[in-house]
Amino acid sequence: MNNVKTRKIAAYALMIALAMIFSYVEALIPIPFVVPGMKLGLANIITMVALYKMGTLDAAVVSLTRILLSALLFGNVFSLAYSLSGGIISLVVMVLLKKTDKFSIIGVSLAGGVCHNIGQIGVAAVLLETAELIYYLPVLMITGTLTGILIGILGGLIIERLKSVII
Amino acid sequence: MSNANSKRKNDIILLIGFLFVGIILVFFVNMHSKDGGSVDIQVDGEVVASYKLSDDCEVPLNYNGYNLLRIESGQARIIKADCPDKLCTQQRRISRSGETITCLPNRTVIKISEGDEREFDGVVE
Repeated sequence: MNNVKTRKIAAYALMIALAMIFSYVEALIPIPFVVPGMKLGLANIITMVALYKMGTLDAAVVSLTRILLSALLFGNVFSLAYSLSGGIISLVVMVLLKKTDKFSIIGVSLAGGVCHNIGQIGVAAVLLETAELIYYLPVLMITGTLTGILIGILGGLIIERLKSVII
Repeated sequence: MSNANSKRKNDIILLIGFLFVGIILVFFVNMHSKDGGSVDIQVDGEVVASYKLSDDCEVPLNYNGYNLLRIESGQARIIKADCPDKLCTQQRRISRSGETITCLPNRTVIKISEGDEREFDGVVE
């Protein structure tokens, strides 16, 4: 139906744009992240909202398009590879966990955060042929869980307020 | 609602699981590393130079972009870089084998290896 499709496309556009702004704003925050790959991942709030308010495919479209556009506009091929790998892995894990219906949004998000970091470091280690990058994993796993929990909480709050909105 | 409670419980199990793996990895990493002998400079995966940790020096790395490496008191770090995020300059000094400092934008990694004898102090291409 044209109405639903149009609404979805509009929703996608809105979310992708929002997510890009979130990552831009996040880049402006001068928090000293000592380990490469450490970041808040605020844009993932949008991914969570899309996942829980719309669906798996919708979340995938929004998330991957945002990653692609952000990398094309603000990064390079390598940053695209890192972001994409982290994004795909975290998305797959989150969708699987959500399907089991055994975890709350916070659990799903924290798993997503950790797996995002694992995916990024894995690809970086392969691309730079430096297995030693794995040594960053312990720290990244811990920060991944913390940021994942934060994103889960924020995402949950937003979804709560969007209860009456149909996307 | 017991459903929400059991979900919360599963969340915590997941969290503890990840933290547990993280802590195990920390021990694993620490057991593996020993005091290093030299630092290798890797650009795009290829070792382009190597310097002994015992010789204090300041070396500009111009292979891909610009990073300034300083070796002092047996530790290595990057003190200047032309990359946009400068994360490499904020990382802690490294001295044990396996430790690395990475400049992702410049695709440069400085890595400690247990060099004993090396026939050359540096390789220039």
